[in-house]
Amino acid sequence: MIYEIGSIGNIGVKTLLIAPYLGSVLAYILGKAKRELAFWVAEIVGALLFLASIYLFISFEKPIDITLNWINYGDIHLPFRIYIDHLSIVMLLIATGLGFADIHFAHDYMGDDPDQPRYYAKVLFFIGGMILLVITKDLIGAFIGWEFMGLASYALISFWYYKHSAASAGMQAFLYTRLGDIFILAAIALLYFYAGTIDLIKLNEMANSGELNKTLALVTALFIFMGAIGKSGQFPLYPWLMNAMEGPTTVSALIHGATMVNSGIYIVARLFDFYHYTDALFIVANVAALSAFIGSTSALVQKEIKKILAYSTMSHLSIAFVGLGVGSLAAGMLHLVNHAIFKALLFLSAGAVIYLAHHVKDAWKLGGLWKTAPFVAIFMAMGSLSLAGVPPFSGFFSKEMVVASAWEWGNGFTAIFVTIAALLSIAYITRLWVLIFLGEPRHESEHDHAIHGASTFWMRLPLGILAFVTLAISLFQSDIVHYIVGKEVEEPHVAWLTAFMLSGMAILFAIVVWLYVKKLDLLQKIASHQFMKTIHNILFNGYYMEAMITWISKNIIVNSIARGFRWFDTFVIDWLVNATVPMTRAFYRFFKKGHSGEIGGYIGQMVIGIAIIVIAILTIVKGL
Amino acid sequence: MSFVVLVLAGLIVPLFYRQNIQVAKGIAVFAFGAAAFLIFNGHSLADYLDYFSITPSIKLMEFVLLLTLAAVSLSLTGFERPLISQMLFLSAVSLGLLETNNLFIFIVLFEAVAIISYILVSNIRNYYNAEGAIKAFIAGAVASGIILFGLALFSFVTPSFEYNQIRVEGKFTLIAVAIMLAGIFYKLTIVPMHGWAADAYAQVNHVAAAILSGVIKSVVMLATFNAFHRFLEFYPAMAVIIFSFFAILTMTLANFMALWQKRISKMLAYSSIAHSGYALIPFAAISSKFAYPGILYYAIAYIFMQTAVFLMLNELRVRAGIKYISHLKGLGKRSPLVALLFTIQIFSLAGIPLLAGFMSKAAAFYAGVDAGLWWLVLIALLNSALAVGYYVILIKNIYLDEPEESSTIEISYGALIGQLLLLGGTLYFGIIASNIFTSTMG
Repeated sequence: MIYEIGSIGNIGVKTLLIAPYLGSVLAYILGKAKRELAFWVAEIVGALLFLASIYLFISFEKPIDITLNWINYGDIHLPFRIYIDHLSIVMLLIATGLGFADIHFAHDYMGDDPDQPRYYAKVLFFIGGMILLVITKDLIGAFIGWEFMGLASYALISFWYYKHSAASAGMQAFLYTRLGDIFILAAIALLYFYAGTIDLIKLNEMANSGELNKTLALVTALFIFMGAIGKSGQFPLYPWLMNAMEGPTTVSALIHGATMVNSGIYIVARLFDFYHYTDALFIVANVAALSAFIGSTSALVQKEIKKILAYSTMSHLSIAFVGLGVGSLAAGMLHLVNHAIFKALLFLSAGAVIYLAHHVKDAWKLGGLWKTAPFVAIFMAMGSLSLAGVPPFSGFFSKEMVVASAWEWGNGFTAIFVTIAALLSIAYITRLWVLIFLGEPRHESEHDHAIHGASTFWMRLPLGILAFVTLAISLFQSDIVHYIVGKEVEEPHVAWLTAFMLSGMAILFAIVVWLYVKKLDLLQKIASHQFMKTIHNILFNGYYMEAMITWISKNIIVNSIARGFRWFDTFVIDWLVNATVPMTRAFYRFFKKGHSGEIGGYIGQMVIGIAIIVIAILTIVKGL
Repeated sequence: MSFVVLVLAGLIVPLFYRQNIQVAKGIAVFAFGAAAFLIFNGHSLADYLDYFSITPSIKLMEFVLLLTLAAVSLSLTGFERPLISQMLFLSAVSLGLLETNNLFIFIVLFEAVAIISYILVSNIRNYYNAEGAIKAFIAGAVASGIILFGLALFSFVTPSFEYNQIRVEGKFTLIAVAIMLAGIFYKLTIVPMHGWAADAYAQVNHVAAAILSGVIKSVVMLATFNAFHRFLEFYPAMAVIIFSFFAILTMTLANFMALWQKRISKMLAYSSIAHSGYALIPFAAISSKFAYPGILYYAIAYIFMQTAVFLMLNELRVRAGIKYISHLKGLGKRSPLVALLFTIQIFSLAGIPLLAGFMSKAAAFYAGVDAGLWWLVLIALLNSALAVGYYVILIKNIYLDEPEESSTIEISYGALIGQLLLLGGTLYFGIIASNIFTSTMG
């Protein structure tokens, strides 16, 4: 069916498409008039969007498929198609539900900020982009949503633009993700010209029936995966994700923890049959396993709370990617869902901690917060246990499933790396929790006088709900899998794995607690060894990937290639542009002679014009 | 019915505007709204008059026209109050001009529009206004003579004036049609019939200039296409030669002239002339089935952006005395909202994507390419690039230069609403292209 834009039948879809942008503008305009209004607009729109998603979830019968006529002119057909199936609904629920929780949480966290209208406008715009990504059927529509998110992410990372570090982190995020996006654009062009379609669903169908050229499919699949690498912070384009923590913590929670970074996984999951058809999944699995290892090891030594969480995000997204890569859509998507919830919980808890401690972000400077903020400690502990993969929290099930699938898949490299990454998560998250909440407050002078309680309604409530959900959804794990995949999934079974994982986690847990609570001096002794220092530096700087990328772009791209272009630009293009000035002025002076301002002259010109027409017709018609 | 409503409102309004301009404005906006409502419900002149008919695309254009005029009347100040009733009459006549399917009636209504435009420009406050009005009037009088001469010639050869019964036989008809077109070219400001416009647009009251260069020109553009495309289809090769020649001449000359202007209104006047040149491309591409969507899109996009820039210029001149390009310096800092509204419409004129100006150029140029006139489209594209040169000078002054004065510029609420309406049109038709294309189908 072809509709015109504006005649979308479904009220839920309409709300999801229009409300975020409308809300964004309203939040800004009303917020300028009265600052509190910005929050309320955002809160209401956030709730509306969440309700619309729930409405779609409840009223779902069969996939919603709407074709809107965007541009239809001659040979140019650009439809705007909406397709909402189970996968989209799960992503919608995550995006809008966590978005709503995040907006609610920001009431206090951003409460003192004078720029709230700008903040909420950008957040709503971001949610709009995420919605657009997950409900469009065409790659081009998805790409628009993808870019909207990239823009919003850039704008929100550099929200405190007057801080140099925030401004440059935003720019870095934009450039790194753009590098991946260029490949997606190339993939769209390739598919449009060679496969004749950019319809995501049709691509899957074509892959299933074997119509697609395999080389083309492999190339485009890898190009799209490059975009996913950029957006989801995988090897080698991950450093931006760590620096993105310069933004407000609520932004990190929503965009760089729970939703936007999932979009790379979403696009691969959406095109899963397509990826399965090509052999690109092998590369996906291996790149992801490497990223998981890098993320989890680097998270072990970070100082800042948010950086630990950022590296853990990278590592867990990789685990989800591994799930997809080894051919288990169920495992990958399940981990995405679980991770989104517990990571939002962890980031928001971190936000609460940072808020309580008056913006102290270094975990080593905190400590002993257990007494002042017991609720936050408990909620964060629940998130941590889920992240670590301790039963009965949800993280256990999905992580187990991914690792088991990886072992069944049979590639040793992937399986070993992902197992290490899965095991190490308990080490770094325990370390973080212990540093924040146990022991005695370190560096007392900075925050002992300043701690004030968390507000129950604005802070504890969203945390509590998320903590409850991360526990509760472990009951529905097989339902979620069934809902997304649509058929019964055979659980991968590796006999020794559960026992091995659990005992490994227990040992790591014991070591970390022992070291960080009882034997801090021993830890320092170990760390002061020269060899350990080197390893520490490598891990702390994320394997120096940022430095490498900077070196390459500085020395190879900027100083050699770009210099050549600059020479060309200065001496050829600029010269040409400058040459137009005397040329246009000469023309102007010439034409100006005809514009004396005297009406008689103008009438004369009119007569000349008519003469030209009549003479032209007389000559031409004679020839006809 | 809509015609009657508008004429009646035009007669009633003068009773009010001396005492209370707000009431007059309210009546005008109500009349425009009522007319739009009636058109939406299928009422048109065709209901009770022969020689009129209406199509979905004409309906769309009428909506756009009424919306634009409502936006203009909202932004009027006390000085311009006589314009309210003139605009109401103008809109009534324009509806007829768009709906007619008889050449004789077309010419009569065209003359009526011309006469209303003379009255519009006669709102004289100073020497410059007077000069512009006189120029518009004298050039218009000459053009009227030419058109009537063409019509007289034509009436000798034709059995009927109805569009679909017209037969083209021999040179005589062609010359008659060409002479009529030449007369209409004056209103479309095609070089070399443009001299009066370059002065008049810049010199008359800016609101009148907005109506003259935005509203009337768009309506005439579309109505002329409707009236004459059958003739042109008989001799597409001739249409190509004549219209390409004038299109190239018009846009090139106007763009070079605009590039070195110092006065904003003068620059916008030349930019308006250049746009007439682009609008001739669908005429030249008459053999393509995309010619009509092309001209329709052009007329609709152009009415919004051209009217908006002149209206905003009027506000800037009245509130802050801004006349020359250098006066715009630092406008972005002085009044961010005003600067943004102005900038978006200028970007639309320059043809920046996601704005109506871009899509309309794309549609018009597409018709050209479809008819095989890629060289004409290439020249038009080069001209568009040249045109960006002078639009960017405005933007540079607005945003990159430091303000010389620090006072902010407050525009009235009416003007703001008017600008937002026009902005809505520019954005809507820039992003959502399907309405226009589907209105021309079937």
